[in-house]
Amino acid sequence: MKKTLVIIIFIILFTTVKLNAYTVTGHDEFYDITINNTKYHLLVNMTNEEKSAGDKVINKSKFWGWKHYYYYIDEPMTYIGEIIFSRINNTSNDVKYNYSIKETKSISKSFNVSDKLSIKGSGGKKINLSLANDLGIDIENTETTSVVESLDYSVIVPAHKKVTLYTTGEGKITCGCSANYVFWIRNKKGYWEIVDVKTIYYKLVEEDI
Amino acid sequence: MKKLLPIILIVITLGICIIILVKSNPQYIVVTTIPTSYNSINLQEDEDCLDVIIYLDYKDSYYTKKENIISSTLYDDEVMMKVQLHSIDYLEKHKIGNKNFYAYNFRFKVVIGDNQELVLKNARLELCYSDVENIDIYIGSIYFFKAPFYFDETNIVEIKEISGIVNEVDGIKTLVGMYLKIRCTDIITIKDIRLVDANNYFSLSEVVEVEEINANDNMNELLGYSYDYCKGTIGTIDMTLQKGEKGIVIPIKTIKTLSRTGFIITYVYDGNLYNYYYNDFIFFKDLEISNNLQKKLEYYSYDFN
Repeated sequence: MKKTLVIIIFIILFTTVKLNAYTVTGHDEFYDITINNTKYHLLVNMTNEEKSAGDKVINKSKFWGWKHYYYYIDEPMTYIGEIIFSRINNTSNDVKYNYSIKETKSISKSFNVSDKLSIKGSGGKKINLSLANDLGIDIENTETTSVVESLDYSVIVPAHKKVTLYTTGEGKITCGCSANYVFWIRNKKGYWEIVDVKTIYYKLVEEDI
Repeated sequence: MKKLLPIILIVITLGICIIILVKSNPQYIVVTTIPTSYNSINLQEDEDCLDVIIYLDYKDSYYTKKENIISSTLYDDEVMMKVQLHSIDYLEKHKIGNKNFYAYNFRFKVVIGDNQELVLKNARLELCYSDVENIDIYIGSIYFFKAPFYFDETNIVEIKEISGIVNEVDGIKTLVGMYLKIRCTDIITIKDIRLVDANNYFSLSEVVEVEEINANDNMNELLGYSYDYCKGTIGTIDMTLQKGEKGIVIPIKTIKTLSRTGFIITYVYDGNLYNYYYNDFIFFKDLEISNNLQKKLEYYSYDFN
């Protein structure tokens, strides 16, 4: 009995349980992404059958370097983005809030990359630099990047109201899979998706609470 | 041939050295900005700031060090105003054409004083440096307005929702209409809606009621006819709003690119005239510098220091 308990404890201690945060789109910054051409799907929604078209290409070994397969390139898409701010005023007086340049950021580029193709950057997951270079991605833009708004915005939230400022937008999305070979031996393999935001739209909505 | 070899080697070495020297010591720096409409509605007691994003083809140059700038001036044919440089912040790398540019946010403090408003229809920004030529660039237009208060005195009118309609005019994305969902707690009559902008204006005679919009809706489809984005009169409005909510689209005649602005609604309630002041709202941000926009940009060259 004791032996079994020790084994169980060892199994618990040495088994790494991987917990990946679940997002509907695969990108933390977007609540919803709609690809204009409905025949294409987001990586999170792709079936194994859809993915297999790429697997067939990249599984063929190569002497050295990367092999890529693009499921789609620069497909126009629209998205519902992040909430920039949301304020509830439970008091009986109007309350003024000020937002300064340092606080407001919007996403300009977002990556959804398989673990094997990513490295941990200071700001979270980053696309593997060698892969980024091979895909022609600017080396400075290998992780989800934001643009700082030159925005000083004052909003008055009336008594017993909730005010929400959120973004929608449009851009382009590219999805593919890649494998890296060293002397015909596959070193890395995975799937990736890159969202390039082109235009951000802002919408302010006031609701009763 | 053996005698020539050292000479060839010397020439090649010299050539490489010259290329390295020229590359490491550029002769000039290229500066540009995207002209836009800088609009603001602020309260009298609030500090006014102007943020101008300037693109330079070199990072961390003499031109982006705050201590090297002696003075800054905003001017056009009619107005000239000294402004205080508050900060210079690096934002990001941008590709314009085939060239890399580095975007810097130049923030200025603007003191409007007692005039209540600052209007420059064709604004230029001059930055005076201690050791090099001044930067003098066209930045678009400026309209800074001082409101006595935000919103209204009566609490009759409330803006429940605000967003913009963004279309391409001459291949460049700009705000062509504003969507407002207005809630009134009593009957009012809107007599005027004024855009706080030096060049662009609302087309009041073309205001339509719309339940919902998307930011990229086409203005022609919203109005049901071919809309002239640039030409037309301001027109008049005499719209009575009953108690409740109503969504309206107010088309804008676009003379200069617009993405951020405030507005003033003048209405009659109980026989009296009131103003509703809405502070400037950013409707959209274009992260892509399109080919059409690139063609319209002015590039300025200055000696590299």
